[in-house]
Amino acid sequence: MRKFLVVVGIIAVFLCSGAFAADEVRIGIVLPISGQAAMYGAYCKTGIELALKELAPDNTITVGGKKLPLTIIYEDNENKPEITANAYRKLIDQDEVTAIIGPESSSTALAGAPIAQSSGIPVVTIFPTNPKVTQVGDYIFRACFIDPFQGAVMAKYAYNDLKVTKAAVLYNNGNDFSKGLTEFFTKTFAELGGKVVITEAYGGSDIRDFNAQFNNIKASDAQVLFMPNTYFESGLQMQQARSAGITLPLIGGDGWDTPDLVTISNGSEEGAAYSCAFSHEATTPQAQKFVQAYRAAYNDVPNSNAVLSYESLSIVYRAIEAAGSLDGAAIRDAIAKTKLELPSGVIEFDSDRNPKKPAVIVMYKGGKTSYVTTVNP
Amino acid sequence: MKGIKSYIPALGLLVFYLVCIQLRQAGYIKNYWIQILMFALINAMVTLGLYLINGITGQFSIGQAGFVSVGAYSSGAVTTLLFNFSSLSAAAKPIVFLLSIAVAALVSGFCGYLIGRPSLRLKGDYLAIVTLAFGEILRAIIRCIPQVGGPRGFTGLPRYSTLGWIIVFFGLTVWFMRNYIHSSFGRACVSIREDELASETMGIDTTKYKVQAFVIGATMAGVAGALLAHVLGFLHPDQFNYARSTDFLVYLYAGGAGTMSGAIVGACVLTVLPEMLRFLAGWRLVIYGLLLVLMMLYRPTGICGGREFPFLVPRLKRSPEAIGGRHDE
Repeated sequence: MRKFLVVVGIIAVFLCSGAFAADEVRIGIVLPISGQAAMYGAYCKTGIELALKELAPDNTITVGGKKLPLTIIYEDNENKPEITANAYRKLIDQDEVTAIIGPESSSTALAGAPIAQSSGIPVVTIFPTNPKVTQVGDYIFRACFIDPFQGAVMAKYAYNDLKVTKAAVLYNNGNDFSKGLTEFFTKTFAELGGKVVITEAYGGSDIRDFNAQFNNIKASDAQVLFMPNTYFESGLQMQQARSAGITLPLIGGDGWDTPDLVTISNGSEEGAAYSCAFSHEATTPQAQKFVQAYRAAYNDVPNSNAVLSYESLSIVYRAIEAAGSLDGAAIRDAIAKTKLELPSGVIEFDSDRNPKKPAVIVMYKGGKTSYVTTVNP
Repeated sequence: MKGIKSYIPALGLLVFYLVCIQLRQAGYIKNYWIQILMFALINAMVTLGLYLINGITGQFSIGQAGFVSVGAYSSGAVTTLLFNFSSLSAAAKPIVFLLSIAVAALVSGFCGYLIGRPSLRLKGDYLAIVTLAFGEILRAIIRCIPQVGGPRGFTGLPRYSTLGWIIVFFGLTVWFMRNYIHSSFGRACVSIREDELASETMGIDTTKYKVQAFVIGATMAGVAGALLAHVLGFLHPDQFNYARSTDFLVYLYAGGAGTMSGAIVGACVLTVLPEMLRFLAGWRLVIYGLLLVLMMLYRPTGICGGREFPFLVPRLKRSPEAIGGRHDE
């Protein structure tokens, strides 16, 4: 009798799993749920959950006129490349997911992306800023903007909003982020009709004294100073620039996007502006709606991880609906054609599968950040 | 008859490989499990290297991931930077791949030599600190080399390692280790572990054997790293941090530090276990840690408990002439 029950049980499980597999849409989410980056994973999860609540409150998705149940499968990657490769393989081979969202860092995304590319599964990665991630192949997209883009955005802000034509740059030539922003700032600023009149570099983040550079910059006729450096270096630079008598407007990148900057710059950051992915003060109706919904759900203001995860899921969900099938290539093409109004602006993908979306310019006022404007690509 | 018997382990490995491939083609096992198996065998190779240093020779090395990174990056540099792997003809690919593994073995072996030298003067905790620092230095150096991606990681490596390649190198590693440990070299290493002074008095060149253990252990880790690089197709310096070295130590001691079987089983079980626990979602690593704690409490000798698989102990050929004094009986 017992043997009989076991056999029946096993058959039932097989039948159930068969029924489970048919006519269902599964989306895999790879996030650091444990390990050092677990905090970011938790923020990402809130964004995913909120998007799900809005898009599919009954956990369904309409594909080709048919309402299908939607299952979200979370997998932990511990923020490690090897574990990400395993998580991707599991989602693709065992769960047979239609699309994958995540992970949120470049080093893990680069380990997973080749697997998805060779299996023909579309992926929207959340927060990898390394340009190489989407170069893996045509199935790999990203929700965030890449470092060079920010340089271009700040050039546009300087030329169009600050209405200046001569710029100075102070950058760290030992840092990829700083170098990338400088390069693209200079290029875009020249294309717009401006000119970078002086470029000063320093080597490495252990430099504490920038007076030599600031003396040169002061002697030039620059009208704005671009400092795309990390918050610690920038904090010191702001102080030293002001005490060197430089009164130029200061602009920077999202390396400044932390409250810790103010503790170093100690008041000299007043009026300094920088670009970042999202400001909770952004005035677009989509952004305000999102911030309110997020506040209601989590009693907190959304950070960049939450916004980008929210947008990733929205992009994938809409693309599956638009594709009208669960075919990987069809969904890939639908993602490439995305045109959605999301909290951080209208999102479209360029030919390198990076989002063409606006950046937000934020300014320090009285030790706090306040929203200035949105710069379109 | 005896000649055939000694081939049984190798044949067993071949049969295992064929079964895996057949099952995959029939759709019974997914690529997912093949990939986990590949990682498990690679980890087992690294752990075997660590077993020689820590388990047999009694030195305390906690920088094993550093050697893996050297092997991984140097082989990746050969296939990706020196040769443009994807543009090679199908016949040249295995040759370049083997060359890259050879380079990985040489470079990491040399690093093993570098770290083996101070081990002559240092013991216990002090040696542990040196090996730890050495692993971190290697990581810091990799970060400074833009050709291999620096802090952003090394991308675009060919994903050329297959289960077949890994099983071949795993088999070679096990074969080599078995013969080494049960030879006079291995005996010398064991004597150093048991009592360094006494073994020196008996005329054993302790310096030579300690350096040898480090070089061989590092070489194995380097070869494993080369295979790993070509499974993942991507390398990041932070992948080989101190925590990763600790993983290998855990594999070794959880399996049982006294035997090769322990190193292999420990690495395989602890690589597969976190994947099997995926259904637990957020509790996965909690349960994994709990299982480790329970195992160490109730089975401190490790999973294998000091026992060796019979095929890992070579049968010594004993002829009456070889054993002196036998004819007097």
